[in-house]
Amino acid sequence: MINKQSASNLIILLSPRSKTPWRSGFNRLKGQKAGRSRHTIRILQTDLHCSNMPVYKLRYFNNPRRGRAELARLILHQAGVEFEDIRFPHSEWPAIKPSTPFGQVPVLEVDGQVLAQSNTIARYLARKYGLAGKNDWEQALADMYADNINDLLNAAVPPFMEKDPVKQKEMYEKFMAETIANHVVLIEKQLKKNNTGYLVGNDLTWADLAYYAYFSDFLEVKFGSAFLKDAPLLKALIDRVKALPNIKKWTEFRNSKYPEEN
Amino acid sequence: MVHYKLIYFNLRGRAELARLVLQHQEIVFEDFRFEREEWPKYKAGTPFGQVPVLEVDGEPLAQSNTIARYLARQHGLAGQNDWEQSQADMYVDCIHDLIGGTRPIIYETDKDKQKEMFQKFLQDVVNPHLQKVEQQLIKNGSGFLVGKSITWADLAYYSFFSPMMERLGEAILDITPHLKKLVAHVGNIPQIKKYVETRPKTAL
Repeated sequence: MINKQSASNLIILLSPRSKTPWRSGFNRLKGQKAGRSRHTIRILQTDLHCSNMPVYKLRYFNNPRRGRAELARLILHQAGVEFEDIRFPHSEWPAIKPSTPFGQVPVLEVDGQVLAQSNTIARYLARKYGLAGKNDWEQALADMYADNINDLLNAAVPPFMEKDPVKQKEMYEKFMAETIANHVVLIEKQLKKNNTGYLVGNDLTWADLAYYAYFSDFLEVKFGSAFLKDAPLLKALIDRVKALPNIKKWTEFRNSKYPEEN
Repeated sequence: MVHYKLIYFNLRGRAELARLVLQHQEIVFEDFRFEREEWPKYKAGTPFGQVPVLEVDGEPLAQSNTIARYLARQHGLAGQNDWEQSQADMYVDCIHDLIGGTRPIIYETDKDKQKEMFQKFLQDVVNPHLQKVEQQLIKNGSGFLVGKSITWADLAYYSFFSPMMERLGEAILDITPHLKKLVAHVGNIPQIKKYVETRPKTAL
């Protein structure tokens, strides 16, 4: 079926030496040797991306610039998957809200079908693009670490919402000295136990991206690196993620295009 | 056969969904419960200073939803394909948010204020959510939240709303007849019914 997406993928294959350029081109795509044929179709529809690549639309507020959508964005960028990164102003929310499954964002549209809940969206994409772990147990471990980050995100909400600046400072200090400090000790222990430089198995998973997003993009930016002084393995992990080419490219672009981060 | 040890307080709380998954699939497991005073004894042995923890042949897994999802996936209650599994994840995340919303209410010591907070929670958070879920149930058309058969998502909704109905009366789900029917259906599944009748009676 020719639709808007596939129309953009119509190409004409040309090969000067072949009587049937389209066929040799098509066979080259399929990995076969070029050959002769009597057919004369001139235009070949092909999808140069994976022919099963869905159309992804990620919808979230334009502020916070990262917020609950950033983990999905990091996964998609790391995996090199195209998606529409839709950010709408809060003024448009009353019109958009009723169309979401549960009156919340982010939502991910996958070929028009809608998925809600930030961690569900991230897990779905991570599993689809090889960032979830190599077997059921590793996938569960990655889920566990992502849940930790979800708890830490929720724990940061009360100080974030506090309007009195003196009280807010106090709450953040307590948060860093207790909640964060305690967790850093425990995660350092897990990293030492796993001994691969990654949280799960011996390769990057969305768990590492989640820890990077929280500990570097959020905490390091806001509070500096002092809280990592006794956590060399966690520091090495977030530096490793920071330096990944796709992550580096995305964050540099993002920070210049959306400069005010929360 | 793999040995499961589920470690938690002697409460339903954050372990109940995992217990329901195991009970529904009739998987034998060690339902290890301790009293609140004993917590300091067990805390240091957990990966992140929290319970529930599931030990799978001695290897620990933390985080209540991760545990329940792992068990659901291992034992056929997670959904029939990637998309259904994500739909189920989504619903369970919704229940997780609702449970989170009850925390400040549970910890409120002023009884009048607590009652007020709970009413506000029902009105502003639970009821709007119920209406959305009802729409999704009608749209799905099978009586279940995901696909054509029971998943851990249905157990999660049962686990959250059944005790609430017991405490506040069944009428709280009158605005969502399909969800009410689903909760009743889950409650009547023989292995669930038997488990609920025989499990320790705890406040939470």
